[in-house]
Amino acid sequence: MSAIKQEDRLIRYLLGDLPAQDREQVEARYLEDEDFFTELQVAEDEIIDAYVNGRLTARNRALFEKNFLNSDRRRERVHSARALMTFARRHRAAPARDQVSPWQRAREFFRVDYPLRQWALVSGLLVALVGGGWLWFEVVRLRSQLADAQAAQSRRLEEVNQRLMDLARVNQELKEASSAEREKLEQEREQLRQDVERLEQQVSTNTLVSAVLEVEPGGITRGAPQKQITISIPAAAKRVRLQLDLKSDDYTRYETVLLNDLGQEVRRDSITSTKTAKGRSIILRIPAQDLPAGGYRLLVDGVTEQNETRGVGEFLIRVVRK
Amino acid sequence: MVDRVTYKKDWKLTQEALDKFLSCLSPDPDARGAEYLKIYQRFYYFFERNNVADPDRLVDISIDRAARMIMAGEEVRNPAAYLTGIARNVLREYWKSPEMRVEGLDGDLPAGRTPAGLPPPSEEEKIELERRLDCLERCAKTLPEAERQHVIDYYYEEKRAKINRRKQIAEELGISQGALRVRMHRIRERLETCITKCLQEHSEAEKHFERIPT
Repeated sequence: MSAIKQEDRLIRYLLGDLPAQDREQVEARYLEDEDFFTELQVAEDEIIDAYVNGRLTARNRALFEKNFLNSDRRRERVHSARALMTFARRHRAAPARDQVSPWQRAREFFRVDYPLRQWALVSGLLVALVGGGWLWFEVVRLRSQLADAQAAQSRRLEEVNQRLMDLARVNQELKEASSAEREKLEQEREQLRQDVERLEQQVSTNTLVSAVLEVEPGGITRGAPQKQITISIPAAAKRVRLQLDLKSDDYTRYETVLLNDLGQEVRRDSITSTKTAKGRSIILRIPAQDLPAGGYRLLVDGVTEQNETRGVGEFLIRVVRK
Repeated sequence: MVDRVTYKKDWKLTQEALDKFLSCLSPDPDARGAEYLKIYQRFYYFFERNNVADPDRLVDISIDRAARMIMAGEEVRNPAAYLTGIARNVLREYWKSPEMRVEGLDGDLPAGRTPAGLPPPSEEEKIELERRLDCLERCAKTLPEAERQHVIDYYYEEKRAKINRRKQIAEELGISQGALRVRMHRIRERLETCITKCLQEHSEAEKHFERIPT
């Protein structure tokens, strides 16, 4: 029997379309012959695929549904065949994975065949759009608040500095004044002292500590600190502002190194001078957490246009934590 | 007439009878298990194809009968042919028994169950297909890449190019087209087994989550 005739016979057997005698012959053969049984199973694959792809004639389709699809196992096979055809179509439609660009992969991922993914994408974009807009708005608002707070802080610091200078002036005048004038100056000094206290209190509650140091023009000798100050940092303070006022600004930039009492480097900054009420100053902003209670040495070097470094200041700072 | 297809009341399959039956299948003790499974699969198919509602029960009855006859001294040279004769008798008894309520098709092929056919695809069926496809994607990943690509090429339905493509795959593998069909059938069998297992796991997981109070 030719292969085509044989296949046709098997197909007709599977469709329940063989006369009883032929059917028994086919059955006897596949029950006894393993290879023939495999041929029958392959024919079963073929007829299932033909049914799934709509390639059966109306008569064969009717026979298939009547005589073949009457067991759970065979119905299950038809469902799996449908999945297999869809799988092949989806993967065949897309070029080989390693030849596909990321954009093509993205397009494939959100194809019409995947409505759930499309909905997920649209929902995700909407959430990102609304969430992103809200976050942007919040960032702008918080930045604005921060800028306002910093401006207010700076104004208060300037005011404190001004009052301290006034106090120093009054002290000097007091030394030189007559008794009547001295009484008047005493009152003024008391008023100023109260102002300073009030302003310092405000600064403390705004969690910023400030100290002012003066950097003398000309070089210094390392190991001979120009000044020693004490900074008292409240527990709530977040940052410490060190303002180094320059008597003359002779350098393009300044290198500062802060060492703790063990000689270990706490931080290093490279900064240019800025304009302040006192003229030109170097301003260091140090997180309060970097300054535990103890002794520190601040070294300031000026860097020339020729990139030469020269020591211009050295200060001892004692930090006290409240 | 037999009330229900069964075997002799006083006889039960013993280990000795089973061993004798298995020794008829192959002289090599290590090959007997595999031979038994192959025979079982063919006879299951036979009963299923003849619209028996519970094919495995009738396979068991056929094997028990064969084992009983072998124990009684019957000489069996070709166990598959011998079992075929027994299976046909068991099937005839099944058709005559009261458990067969549906008349044969056109007086020719008996029907054990009402033919169901595939219902028109519903939304639920589409979801089911997607679930099955997810499983298939997972199962296909266990295949070697070349084999996976052959599955895609082989089953991609494109009328004109299909024959040439299959020919090309056979040439690539250096086998005949008939051998290719068998090879693809074996891969397909593996995939279908994997899909069934995967769907069962899905179903068990769903049941588990349904039990969790919300």
